Amino acid sequence: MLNTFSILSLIIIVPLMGMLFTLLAKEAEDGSTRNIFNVALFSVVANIVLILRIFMLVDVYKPGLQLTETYNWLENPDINIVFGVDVLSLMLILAIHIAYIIGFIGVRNEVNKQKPLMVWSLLFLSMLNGLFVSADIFSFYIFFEGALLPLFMLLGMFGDVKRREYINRFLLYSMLGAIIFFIAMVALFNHQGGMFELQQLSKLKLTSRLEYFIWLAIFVSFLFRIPIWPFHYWIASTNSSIRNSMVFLISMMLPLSGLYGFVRFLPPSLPNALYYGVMVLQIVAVITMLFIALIGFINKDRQYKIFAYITVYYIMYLLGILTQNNVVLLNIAYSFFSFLIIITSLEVLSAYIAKENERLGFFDDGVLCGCPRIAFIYSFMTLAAIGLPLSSLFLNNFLILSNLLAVNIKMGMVMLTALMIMSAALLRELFRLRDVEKCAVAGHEIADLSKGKFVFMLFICFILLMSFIKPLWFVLRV
Amino acid sequence: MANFVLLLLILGAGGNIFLNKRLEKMVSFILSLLTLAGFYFFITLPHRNFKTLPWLEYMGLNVDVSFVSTPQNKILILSLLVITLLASLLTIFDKKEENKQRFVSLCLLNLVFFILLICAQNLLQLLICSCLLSVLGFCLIDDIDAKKKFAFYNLLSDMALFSVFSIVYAYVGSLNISALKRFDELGAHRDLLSFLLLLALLTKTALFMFHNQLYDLSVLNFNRFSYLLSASAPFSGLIIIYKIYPLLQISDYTLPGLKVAAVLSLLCGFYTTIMIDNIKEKTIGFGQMFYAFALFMFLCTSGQNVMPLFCLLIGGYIISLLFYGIFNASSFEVLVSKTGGFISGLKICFLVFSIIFIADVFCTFSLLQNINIFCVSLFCALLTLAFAHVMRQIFFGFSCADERVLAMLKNPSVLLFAILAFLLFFMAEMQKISLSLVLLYAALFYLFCLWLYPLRLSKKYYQSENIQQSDVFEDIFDFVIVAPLTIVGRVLWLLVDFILIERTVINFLRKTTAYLVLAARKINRFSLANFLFLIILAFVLVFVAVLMRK
Repeated sequence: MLNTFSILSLIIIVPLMGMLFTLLAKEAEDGSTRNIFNVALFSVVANIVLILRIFMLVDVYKPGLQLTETYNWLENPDINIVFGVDVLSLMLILAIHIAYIIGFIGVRNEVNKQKPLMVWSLLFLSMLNGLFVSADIFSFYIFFEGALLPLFMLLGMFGDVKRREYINRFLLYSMLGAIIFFIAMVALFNHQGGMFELQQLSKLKLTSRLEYFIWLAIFVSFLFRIPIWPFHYWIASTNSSIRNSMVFLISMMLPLSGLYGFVRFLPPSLPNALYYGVMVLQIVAVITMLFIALIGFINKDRQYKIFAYITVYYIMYLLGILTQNNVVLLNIAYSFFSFLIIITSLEVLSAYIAKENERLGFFDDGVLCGCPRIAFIYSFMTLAAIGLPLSSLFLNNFLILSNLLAVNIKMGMVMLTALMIMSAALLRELFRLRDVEKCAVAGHEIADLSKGKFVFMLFICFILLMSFIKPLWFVLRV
Repeated sequence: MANFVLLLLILGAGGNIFLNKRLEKMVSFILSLLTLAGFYFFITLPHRNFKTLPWLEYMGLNVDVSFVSTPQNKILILSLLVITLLASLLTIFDKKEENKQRFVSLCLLNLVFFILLICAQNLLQLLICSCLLSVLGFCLIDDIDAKKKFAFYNLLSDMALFSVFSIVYAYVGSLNISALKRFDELGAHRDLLSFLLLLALLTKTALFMFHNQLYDLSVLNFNRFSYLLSASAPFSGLIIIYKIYPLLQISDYTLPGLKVAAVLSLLCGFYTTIMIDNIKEKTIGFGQMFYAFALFMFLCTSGQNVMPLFCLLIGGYIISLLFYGIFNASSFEVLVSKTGGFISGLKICFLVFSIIFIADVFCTFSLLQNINIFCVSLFCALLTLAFAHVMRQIFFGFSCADERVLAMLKNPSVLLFAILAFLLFFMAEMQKISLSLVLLYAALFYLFCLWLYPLRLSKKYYQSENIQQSDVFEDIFDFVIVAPLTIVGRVLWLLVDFILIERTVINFLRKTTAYLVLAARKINRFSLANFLFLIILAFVLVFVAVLMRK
């Protein structure tokens, strides 16, 4: 070990430890899984404390990776594992952890397969943490592919009747991306004679053919993770088959690894090999946005609407990343923080409503009329999701979009149209759930949120509001 | 100023959080009193007061929260303060209002964001306040259908405004409102910007074609909707026009477009006041006339004079309170066709309301005559004609009222009279209006219209279901926007997603894989024919390879 300060390694290890303890935790005699839940929750909370500590240690306004840790793994061949963080990766890590807590609270009362759910979720969390702190191509690859295993297991356990078919698709699709990335990595390793840090990637001197192949392979492998047309259908069908909110969230976090890959790998100035590729990608991306938004608008499945909303935002972030502008990147990080919290809350509430409806044999229409607490939180989250100034989504989207509009106004306008359609779809869904007339006709009421959960969700709303006032409000100077 | 806003914010937020059903009347009263204290404090503020609070500072972006009070801003803020105060007081004594404390608290929050909107010096503050006013309007409306329409229209407007400001920021590189003039020099995407601006402003101000959002408010409690009519999204739209006026000049058709929409809105409002049977919708029609006229006059002053906006706010609110009084006096009868002959029980009400209306028209005329005397006279005449028409039907028309309603007729409370008198005094005092012969002409014209009843034929349309129930613009929007979106979405979903990708591509891959597997299995089966086939295949491949190399 070359560096003794290892707080970044800790945020990868803590969820792994949590996973082990969860594996060892026993269910109560009455079948209660509260023990397992508490252990998993505690490990996530402990990691949040560590992340906040890291926020104190880094200079959030300084560009570049900080708190770098280097571990020499193999001497021949020479392979070092390097970790480092900047404000972008830290915001992503924190957002995922908060989303995890909301997700855990959402599945708290689910006794069925609670242990495997918690175990694989924690493994996935650890892999994502590793991905966001990895600063060399080797560790990036390990964590990038490592995240697939827990998701594969979770899809197998929590998918619906067609899950075998979807798992096959997921596996083939993801493995294809992994193989392409692996080939590119091996080619780079041979060319360089060893591993190197991600920051050096853009400085490598490659032959034009190799350059073309490497960039194409790397970017295609990232694109396999993002729901871009025509591959979105693959991911859409996989996600709509999931009936567990936590698994759905985890599967929706996977595209983030592809986006993050673009952030870390995209060179400051585009090489010739990439220029036309990026242009084509931009065109396909905006078409996908509009395409998915339109389908989300007409589709009555709430899960699909959330998927469509998430996809539209991911593609907007992708287009923002492709502008290679530091201001945009920072705003994407701030925006993503609220985005993930909002979609998690919406998904958890949505799953709760669906489950209650299924239990009582009700329809969705007007279901929120009899439960003011859920209605309040759901309305708040929907209004924040559509971009009203209730979270950092508003301000940061404003800055991202103004930059995109400056780059290409036509592309920006198509994006705005897609966002508008998606917002209308979410709003329509909210009104359907709050339709008093339908409620009076059906005469049904589902159980409202408990006081404790309501207070917790209010706290989440408070976090969102604070992120609107100041994105880094929680950063204390030491 | 900043302290005053903070006080209102705390009161509003506190009132919303600590709701108490038992004490809500008292809490609402205390909140109103505290607002009154704030009102006195605000009056004593110097005319010019500048304060900015630093808000965001990162990556070259500096955004401050501005509290800039100029005499023009002060007039608007004071008017809104007065309306909020009076609406709160009326709520306390309104028996039909179920959530008094929540309403008062939301009104205070609404006021806070109006003040911030009026004081805004940067586009971000303007946009945020506009959006938050939409959210508060959404919360103030307690009917789901009205909420729905209001939310959709305002979402559309805010998104369009968001796009406009994004484009401006992208090209100008500054969020300052004073930098808007620079955009005109740069001249980028004028037509696109103009279209988006028109869309945003027409929707926000609920002008012609987008006025349905206002009419749906008629299902709310009278006091609630008259407050929303005066101090909600449409008025915020007018303030936005006031703030970003330089941006309206970038294209040749933005200002004319707004003027045409204003005139059409005025006519539409007039039509409603005459043809629609519902007293609440008639009130909204009057409100629409005021909005449209205020915008028209404001545009005539090249965005310099806020007096039309002030007139709209106070004058329009007075009219809605007059109808509120009549509505209460007639035991909450909504249909005008079910009234008539009310003069027998409401003599004082008729007299006082007529005087107040004439005084209102006179004040409006006096305040705006310097801008364009012809237009003001025409507007006042139309207003008088419409008001006299309604008053004639209610007070002197053939009585179709229920016996119970006639027996229960009761003059409105002294509080309402006092509030109306205060509003008139406030309106006259702001610009020191002096008496003139115009007051007499207004009274004579009103009496003439009342006696002549020139639009009496319109009464027969009260029975026409097509006119009373039709929602033409809603149908048009459904046909032009929602239906095509739905069709395109469905085609994409079924044709591209399902048939093309799932049924064609994925099925093809699946079947091809299955055939390949089957072929491989067959080839590998132990038989002489297979061996022979493989040997021949190998020879063929070698032969092809040799040929290709040659």
